[in-house]
Amino acid sequence: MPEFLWKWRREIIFTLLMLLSLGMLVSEREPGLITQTLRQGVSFIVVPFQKISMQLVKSSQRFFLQTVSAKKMRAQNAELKRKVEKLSLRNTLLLEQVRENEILREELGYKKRTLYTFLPAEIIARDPASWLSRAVLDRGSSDDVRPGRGVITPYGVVGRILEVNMYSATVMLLLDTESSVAGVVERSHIHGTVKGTGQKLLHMMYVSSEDDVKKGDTVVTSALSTLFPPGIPIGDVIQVAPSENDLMLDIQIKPRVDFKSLDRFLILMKED
Amino acid sequence: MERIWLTVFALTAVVLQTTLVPVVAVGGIAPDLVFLLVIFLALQRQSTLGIWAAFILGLLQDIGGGGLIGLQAMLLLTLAYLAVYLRKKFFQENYLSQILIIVLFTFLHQFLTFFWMNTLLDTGFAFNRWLLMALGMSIYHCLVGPLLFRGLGYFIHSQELPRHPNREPGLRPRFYRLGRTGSR
Repeated sequence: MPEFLWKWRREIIFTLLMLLSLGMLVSEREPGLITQTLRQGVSFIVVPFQKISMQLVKSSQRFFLQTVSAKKMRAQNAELKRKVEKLSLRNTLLLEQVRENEILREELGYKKRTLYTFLPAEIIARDPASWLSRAVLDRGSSDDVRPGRGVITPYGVVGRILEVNMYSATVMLLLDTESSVAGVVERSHIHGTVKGTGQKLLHMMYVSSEDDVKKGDTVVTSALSTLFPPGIPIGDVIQVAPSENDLMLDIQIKPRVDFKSLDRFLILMKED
Repeated sequence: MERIWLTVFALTAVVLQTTLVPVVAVGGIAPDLVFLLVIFLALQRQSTLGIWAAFILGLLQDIGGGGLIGLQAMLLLTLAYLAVYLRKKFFQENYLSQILIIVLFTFLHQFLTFFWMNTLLDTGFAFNRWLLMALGMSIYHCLVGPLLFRGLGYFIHSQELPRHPNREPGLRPRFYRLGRTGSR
């Protein structure tokens, strides 16, 4: 018997490890204690190295950009300073309007809206299998990040937090095939569900063929969304066509966020 | 000692793969350092070590990149097992042979990823996407692979790590003495 085992050891090890991998893959649908512990343990070892490596990569990129285009960057810097001044003024006015709006909503008896604060986060790793569209951020449960939190950039919606470890969190990007968010066409107030396709574009579903949606319309997060506050840009409609049965519209959306060059994020934290 | 170096290689490959490689990707296509390391180990080291390394590297890659746990582990295991099997059958020690094996395994890796993603997650990826990914990655791997194999080979040789016991005595070690004069 031991001779048999020794002779076929390669095949036996291979079969056992394959079964183990398959088991873990299947159990990923509903992650249990073992996969959670495994993820926590490995992340604890790998994440510090990833943070250092990402810092080095970013520093090199910055150094390269600074040397190559110092003059251009100085001009850009001056332009950005002017923009910041303008936006700060506009922000003060808008905050005043928000306060006024809240008072009026309260007087009219509307339900109080959930308020959000933003937790800045940086990317430390991307999923090597690009088809999955996931990324790892440098914030974890130690920063009160929980699964299901929305993630945005100043340009628009990025995705939602899928899993959280002590010092890192995995974000499922909007492009992921399992990702979906309640969206609304800003111009005509048509509601629908925006889903990822696993490729560069998004797909808006459940919009009737009689609804008013045109190429160039902006789609933003709807008030129906439980993850995002309303009005955050998702993308722009680039193609509208009737579906095969003519009952629905087949709407293609180009996301506002450039998913290839993601760097800094804001995690939406609900205020108590 | 070998295990320590292999752990360092594995960790370095996974960290670079999840941090540096996405930055240098062209059109979403980039080299897969973990894949190359697995193929190297499966061809060069003891067969069981190659299989174990494939499983551990796959798991590290799955977790380090935030992907599905078990997917890369399963794919890399399959590739490592095939590589171990094939090395006895027809593998020769020259650049052309290395490039052929790298291209063959890159296509297989991409095809298996495509198949499992469509089967498990019902992603509906098109066949031409798979073909484009496989072609792009093959080109990348043909450029990076032989260099990586040679570098790792020289390193392992300089550390005088034991080679796999199936090697016939008197044969030139695979890959890692390439370029050295009078090695035979």
